Amino acid sequence: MLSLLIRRELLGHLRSFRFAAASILCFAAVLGSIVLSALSYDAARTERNALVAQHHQEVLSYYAWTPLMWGGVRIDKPLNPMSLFTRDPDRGHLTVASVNAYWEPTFIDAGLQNPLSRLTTTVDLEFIAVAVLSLLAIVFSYDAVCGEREQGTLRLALSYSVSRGHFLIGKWIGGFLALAAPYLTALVCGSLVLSLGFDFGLDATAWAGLALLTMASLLYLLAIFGLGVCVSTFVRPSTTSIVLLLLIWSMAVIVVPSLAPYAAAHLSPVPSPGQIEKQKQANRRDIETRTLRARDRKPPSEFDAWLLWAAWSNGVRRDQFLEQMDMAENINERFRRDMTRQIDIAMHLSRISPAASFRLIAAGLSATGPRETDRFWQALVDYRRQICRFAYDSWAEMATNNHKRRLAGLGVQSTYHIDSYPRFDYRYVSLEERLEEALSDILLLCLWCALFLIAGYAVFSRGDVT
Amino acid sequence: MLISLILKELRAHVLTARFQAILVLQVVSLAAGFGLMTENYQTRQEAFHSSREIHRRENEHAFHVINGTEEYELHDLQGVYVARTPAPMSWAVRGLESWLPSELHLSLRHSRSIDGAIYRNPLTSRFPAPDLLYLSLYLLSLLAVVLSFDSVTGEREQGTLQLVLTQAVPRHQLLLGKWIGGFVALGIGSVIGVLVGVLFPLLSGAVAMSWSWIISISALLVGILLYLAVFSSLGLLVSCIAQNSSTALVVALLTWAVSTLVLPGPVREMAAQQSPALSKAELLAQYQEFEKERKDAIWALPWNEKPEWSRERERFLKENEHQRRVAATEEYENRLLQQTSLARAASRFLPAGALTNALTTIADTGVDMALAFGSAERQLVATLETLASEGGETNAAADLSELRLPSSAPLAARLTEASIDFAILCLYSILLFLAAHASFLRRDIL
Repeated sequence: MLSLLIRRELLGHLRSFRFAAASILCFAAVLGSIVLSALSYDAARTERNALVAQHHQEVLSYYAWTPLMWGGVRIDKPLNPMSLFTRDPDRGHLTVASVNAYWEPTFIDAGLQNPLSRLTTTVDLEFIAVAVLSLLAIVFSYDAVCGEREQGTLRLALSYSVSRGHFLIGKWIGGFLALAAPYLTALVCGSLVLSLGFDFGLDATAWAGLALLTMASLLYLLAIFGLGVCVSTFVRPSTTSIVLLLLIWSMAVIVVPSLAPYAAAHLSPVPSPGQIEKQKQANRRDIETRTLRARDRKPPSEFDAWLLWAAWSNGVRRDQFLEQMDMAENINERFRRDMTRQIDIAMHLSRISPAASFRLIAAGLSATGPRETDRFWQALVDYRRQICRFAYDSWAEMATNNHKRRLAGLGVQSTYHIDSYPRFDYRYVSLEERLEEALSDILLLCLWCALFLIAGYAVFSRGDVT
Repeated sequence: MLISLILKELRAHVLTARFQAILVLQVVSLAAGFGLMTENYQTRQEAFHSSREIHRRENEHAFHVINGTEEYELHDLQGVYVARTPAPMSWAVRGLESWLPSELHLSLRHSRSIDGAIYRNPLTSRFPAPDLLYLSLYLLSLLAVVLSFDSVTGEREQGTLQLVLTQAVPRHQLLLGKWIGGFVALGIGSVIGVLVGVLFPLLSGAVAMSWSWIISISALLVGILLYLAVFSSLGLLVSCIAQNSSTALVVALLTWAVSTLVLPGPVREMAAQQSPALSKAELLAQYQEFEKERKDAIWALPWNEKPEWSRERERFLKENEHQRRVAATEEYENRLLQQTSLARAASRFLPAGALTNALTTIADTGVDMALAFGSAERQLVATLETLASEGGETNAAADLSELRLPSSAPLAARLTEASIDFAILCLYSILLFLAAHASFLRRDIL
């Protein structure tokens, strides 16, 4: 009986005009976004390869270790294959940062090809799901019950010995299948294009990430679809139903997520960058002055003693930089605590809307969210320490070795090998951790689904048929 | 006759629950958006003022180093800190301003944007700012569709269309009455919302009232109304063509989704691909190469030359490097400009692109402003270099603590630029209305 109801619903959709229009739109949007993303990802990959080689050459061109301190290393974050589906809103595909011992890491806007790109929304899979597909979910569901009621077919259907529960389940499953079928087909085609048309060498994590993202988007669409069915059970004319749904949709998808971060900034303000920077600068200068005083010892004129002095002085300098880095990180840590509070409030506020929940899931799964920003920053800071240690220790080591050689009666030897500089090695978080980050929002979406389905059922089982 | 038709349409709208809900939604969202954006603007302004004072002291300190000792100490320790003024209209249209650094740290070796990495709430870039542009682009246009999709089909379904046309009402007047009535009903909420919203910056004292300010706000409002007219006409056209309201709605919604959500991004991206530009990283790489070549050349100088000759050669090489840098920067700017104008021209042909361009141009937070900021930043670096090599007055360095966001063009020029977008939007409305008219004349009234 149930399968019959589902088939009836599915066929009813398949023959309709809206199914044809919606599936064309869905197919074109999903496939188009994947292909465009793939093209820009490909371009980013070429550019990144060129940049990696060039940045390596730049380091090799330093005539000593110490220029590494101020010249620094430009590092290229490995491309994130998940950015094919959810682009990092800040930097797109490419992230280039400059790391040196003097200043904190800075990002170079390599991905910013054209300022216009930041005025229009990026149409990635996340955006398609969050805006376009959810709109289609409403289009598919707004007249699920009230449409049949208007046409009188509801009465007819229920005059057979069909339980209301079964009828509604048939509506949900049939309608949702009709919505999901073109989406999933387009996704499969998109994946084929990705794996056959491009040689990105996507690994299992990327595919699993895509699968999880798809499941999350289906969950989100089910919530919206359930909302549509729920509204259609208690609103009389289907025109009212769609108007009501569109108003809810516009609040949930357009308004609430955008208001949330600014409302959070109002509720929990953070100190301005200038103030933080001032603290850092003052502490920097203190440490600097202290070290200068400690180093204020005239270099000996005799070569052997000078070698020892140089090794010692380098050590002092290194410690100074490391201390400055720790100080800056401590200040950042305090700032981050405030910022995390603000971000948390923003997230909680935005979670009124399932659309925001889905976007947070997408950010978590694709490692483009706030947690990834922190993690990458931490990696940069650690690398900065490595660079600093390498630059000073290698020099001091050479001086000490030469001192020993001179004592042994051997000549001075240059052991300058810049190409042994520490490389930046960054790995994205594992899928389990990403899933863990997204879990609370996934549960929230499940809750929304359950809520709307149960509400729809409750209203429908009590409502009139005509 | 027309007036009574308009009034009838307007009255019919105003009495419905749909209109009231839309009105409330428009006013509440616009007011909330304006309120929060004003608050954000004030925060940024305060941060700017306090930063500028801090930086002024820092920079004077730095300048003693510049003036007194060798170059090494300069890039070792100091450099100057710069605070940027917030864009004056960024409380209404945030535009590209949110992507510009508000604090810079410039030294001879580095220029870094201080707030690029950790001082920003990452959610503000994931969820777009609720400014006037965003809300009108998506929310108000959707509400326009919702209000107008059944203006003809609804009456046809209820049978009132037949009744009206029996009373010797010409069809074109009926249609015009419907359009104007619907548009006014839609406009009421938007205008009230914007006017209520504008009160926030006025009352909180974030902006001062002036003629140019009033003109800008009115121009923004005109742009939004023209944009909404396009979607009003779209709703009318669809409701003339479609058999019943639900088909009309599906068609109208899908058209809305395609033209505002789906197309603008890809159109811009494809246009940008037609004219590839250098990335900033590539530009920096070129700088690096010039520097390396100069250093290599200096190393290659013979040791036994007279000292003044080699100093002469060094100065020559430095000058040469500088010229090559300027040329590379110019090339970078030209290509970026080329790419931007192409992408801009292409995206303008969509109503959403035209509105984006018009509003950001009027508020001066658009592409032109971003490009102007880029050259102002480079100018500042050049000034710093001159100061470092030639020295100067102490207050010259203190002046560096502030970067006035340059206005890309005077208001009149910006309005002229935006009027092209207005014309495009008008053209869309007229074409859609004419199409609606043509199909309405040919259709049955039953």
